[in-house]
Amino acid sequence: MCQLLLSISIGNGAYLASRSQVAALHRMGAHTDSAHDQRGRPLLVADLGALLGSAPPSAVGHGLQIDLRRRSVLLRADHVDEADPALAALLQPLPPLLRQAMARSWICAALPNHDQAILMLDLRQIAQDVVRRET
Amino acid sequence: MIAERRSYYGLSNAGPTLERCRAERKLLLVALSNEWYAIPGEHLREVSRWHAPTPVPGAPPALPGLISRHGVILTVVATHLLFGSPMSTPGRRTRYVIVTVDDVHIALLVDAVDDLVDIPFTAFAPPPEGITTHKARLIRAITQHQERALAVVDLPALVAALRAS
Repeated sequence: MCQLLLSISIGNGAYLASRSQVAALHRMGAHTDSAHDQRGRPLLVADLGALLGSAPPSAVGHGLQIDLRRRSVLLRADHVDEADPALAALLQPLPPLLRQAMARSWICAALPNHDQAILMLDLRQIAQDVVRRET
Repeated sequence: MIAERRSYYGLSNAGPTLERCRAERKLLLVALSNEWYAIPGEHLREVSRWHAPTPVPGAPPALPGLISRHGVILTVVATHLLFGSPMSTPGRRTRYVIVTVDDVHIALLVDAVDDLVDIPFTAFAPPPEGITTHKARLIRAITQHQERALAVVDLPALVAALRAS
């Protein structure tokens, strides 16, 4: 099955995410921080760069809306774009040794990129942890 | 005597048959800070230059990130932390020693790589009692090469320690 991917830029870092986890993509503006979901509840807003330990973004440009059962979360990033669908076939699961040792299950796969790796985020898991932190 | 030492140092079930038939063991000499260690050759896959790994949020300090080699994603191991050595700033001599232990592929971060040498089994001795319990668990034996003291790393024990941490 072809998986649609998003390319997410935060500071100098680049990540991937599954398009199917994102309910809506927002262009961030003055009004977005007080935006509401379809049920009229305020969106929980969190900065992806701060959550991932990256440098704070210089200019927050996009917000990824993740709808959970009770709340919706808006994860802010510098830039979000569609990634080449062919990359999905090159994704590798996180090495089990690392996966078992991680404190949070926010990374679900990695893409070889020259000598480095591009991490694939589990946005739904990140959003769930944001909600847990807020409640 | 050699057969006893081979058995004691885990050679009876390690490495290919050809290796077991020999009276010596192939070891890669690596430096962590000012101490020298030896990586058993049967686990060795490749040595590559250091480049910054991709950090993984939520990963423990002993596993500082991921690298890619020939299209394969590898977990980087901060070997210093496991052996209680001070972490050096990566430089021109810093290397990744890529090893395979069973089905686990890892990139050991080391300060320098010297040489791949053959050391006779008669030159191996048990680890000294003075070293910490944690470190002793990761060392299979000690030996010498050109008047340099070497600690032979027990890679299966190292992977087990990472799994347990």
